[in-house]
Amino acid sequence: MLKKIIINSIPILLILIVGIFLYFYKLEKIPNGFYIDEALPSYNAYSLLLTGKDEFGKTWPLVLRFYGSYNPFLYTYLTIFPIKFLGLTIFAARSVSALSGLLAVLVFYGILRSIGLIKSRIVIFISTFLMLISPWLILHSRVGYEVSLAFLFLLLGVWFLWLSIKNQPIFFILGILFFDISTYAAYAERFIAPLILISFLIVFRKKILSKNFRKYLIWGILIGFFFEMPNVWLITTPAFFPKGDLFSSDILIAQTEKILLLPKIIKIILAFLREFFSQYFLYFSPNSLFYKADHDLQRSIPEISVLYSWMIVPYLFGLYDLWKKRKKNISKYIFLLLLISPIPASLTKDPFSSHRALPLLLPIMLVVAFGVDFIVKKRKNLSIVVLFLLCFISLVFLYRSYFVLLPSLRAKDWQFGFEQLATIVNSNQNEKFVFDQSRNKPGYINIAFFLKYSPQKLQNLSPSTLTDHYFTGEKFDIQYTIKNIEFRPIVWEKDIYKNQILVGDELTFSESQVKEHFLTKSFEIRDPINQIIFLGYKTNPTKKCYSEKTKNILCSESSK
Amino acid sequence: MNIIWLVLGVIGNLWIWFVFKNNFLLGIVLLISSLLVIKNQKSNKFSLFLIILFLIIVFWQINLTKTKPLLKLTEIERANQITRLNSYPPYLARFGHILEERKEFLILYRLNENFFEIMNLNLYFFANHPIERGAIKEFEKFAYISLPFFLLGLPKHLRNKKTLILILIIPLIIFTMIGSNISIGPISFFPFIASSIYFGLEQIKNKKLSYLLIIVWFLVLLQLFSYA
Repeated sequence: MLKKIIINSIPILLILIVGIFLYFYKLEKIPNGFYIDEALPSYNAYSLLLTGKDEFGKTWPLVLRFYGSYNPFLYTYLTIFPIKFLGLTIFAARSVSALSGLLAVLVFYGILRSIGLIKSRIVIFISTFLMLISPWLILHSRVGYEVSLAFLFLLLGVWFLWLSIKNQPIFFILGILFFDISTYAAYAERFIAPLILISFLIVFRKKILSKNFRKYLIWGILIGFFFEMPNVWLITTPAFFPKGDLFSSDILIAQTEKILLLPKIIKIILAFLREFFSQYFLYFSPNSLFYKADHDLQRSIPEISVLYSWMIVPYLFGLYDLWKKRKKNISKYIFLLLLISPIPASLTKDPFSSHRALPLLLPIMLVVAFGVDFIVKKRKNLSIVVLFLLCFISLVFLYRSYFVLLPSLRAKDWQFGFEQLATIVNSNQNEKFVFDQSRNKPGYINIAFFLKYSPQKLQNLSPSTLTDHYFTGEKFDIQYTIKNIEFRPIVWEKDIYKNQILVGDELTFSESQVKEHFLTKSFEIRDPINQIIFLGYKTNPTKKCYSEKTKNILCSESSK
Repeated sequence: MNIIWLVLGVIGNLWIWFVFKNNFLLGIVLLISSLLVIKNQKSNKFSLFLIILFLIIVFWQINLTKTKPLLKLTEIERANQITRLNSYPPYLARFGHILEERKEFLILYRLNENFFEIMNLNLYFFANHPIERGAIKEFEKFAYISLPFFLLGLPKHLRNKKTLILILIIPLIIFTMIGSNISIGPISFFPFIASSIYFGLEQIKNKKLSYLLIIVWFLVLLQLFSYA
């Protein structure tokens, strides 16, 4: 008995060992840099840990305002634990996400075991391994934000709903519960989870409305509604829907205006249908899945797509096999997940948004699993050898793209440079720095993170009325001074008359400006491929004032 | 054969008219070969006439294609290659050389690029929107409303494997090797897609739905004509 348990556990142990390496090795260094979307939840977790309030002074908020994105709370709150034990470090910031990604793989294994139609253990092992090494999951697990955490809970919800149909209706309640939790983890799940649930109820209505299922349905709905009450309240505020500008309204208007002859309402409908379906089918196109997915450099890995190129073969075989078995419940469920998952992401204007569409990874990998099973059934021994070889080759290419190329080629896209800037600022406490924020993403939170700036002090910098109007989406100009660095646009007419170091990127300073204002280069921060990230120029008010024919009023102030 | 579905599937798209505009004879060849694929679907026999027509289409496309050499890199590709090589730490320099400079891998990357350029749903149904290629003038091919019918009609091709090899596999292999940079689009795949759309449309039996579909199809074509 014990021997059997050990033998059965070997595949999953192997996956765990490889997984721990893939998901945690050099987690603080790769990706190279620390993106604003990582700095925000981790610094706010630090603030909550020390003061019970977020960076704006709001006590344990339901959603975190951040930079106007109003992120659900779960990831930030869970990040408190690693920060408490590991300190405010990049590793701690990313560890909850990394662990979630790894656990999601184990849940996927459980889903595969429970499907029933895939009986071969070797197929289940290979399919789970492919999920583990999928670039899509690795990229969004080794980060300091919430996407893989939400994915984990969504997977659990999907799994328990399936078990309720297959085995025990009581699992329906657990399924609803995990769907509820996922809506507090990430924004996209607020839309995907209800869509999946409603579709599930429609497709499997005969089973769900049967006598022995009914009471679990009622309890599930009651429990689900109870746990969604905070979200229901949030719908009444602007904080529920802060990402309205992501929708492609400007593209729709442009397309509507081009259409000839037809009434306006028909034009709008047609323009919307084309725009939506062009985004939607992109998520199923082999070109996107296996060659070039997300065009956003921060959300992709160099020279590799979200899945490996060769996986197009099991993908197509899997689709064919599932279509043949379309009358079976599992096929209906997988098709339902496939069709629903990309809907919210398709409503935005970003082509193939890999983080918003992460839920799609589950049905795609289930399709691939069916494809692998189909191939193995045709030619067992040969196909197993080939599949193992392909897994090994995929690992080689993953290593190349993720562990070698990503840290150097995409450092700039991951906001590399703030750690180095924080070191310079900290080592020059007598100097005053001005960080140009006219074009760049806000940098105050990254600096606050690396300087381990006091949360109480940061809270005092935001308007005092903000906590009363926290959920209204009220905008304010974040121009902070953290220790000796100020975050605001450079005002050239004034700043050159003060003794300070101006910090910006290579477009902030032109040669003529440097000459004209007698600026001296104080430092430069470059990324691993030698691209300039930040430049620091020291002003020279004395020389500037001396050079001016007519005396500037600011000169007398600077001389004081 | 249902005439209305035939009209919608084979000539109810902008691509065939774009080809007619550029080369009338080529348009006729595409039209006839699509009709032959549909006609041959039920029998497992190889139509010699179809083979000849199809070879004409493939050779025509080869002739018009700006071939991408498998080993030659453009200046930008060479610069990117150097940047990638410099990313490898010294102890992985050999590994980097193998993956970034060896002929076998360069060929593999090029084949990969060419293959997936063809395997792009958005290229055929949305003029590559929303991922339009910068240096290429995209144009509308099939109406997006035909995409679900294309997917529905695909399994029917599997009944006649010989024709499938001719109209899909052979051009896929050829144009994976040489690329599909051609101003009138990868025309060799036209018969395959048009016939799949027809097979998908054939599955509609409801008359009311058919009339509605025809009206919507016409509206969509008008929309796409406006964008062209």
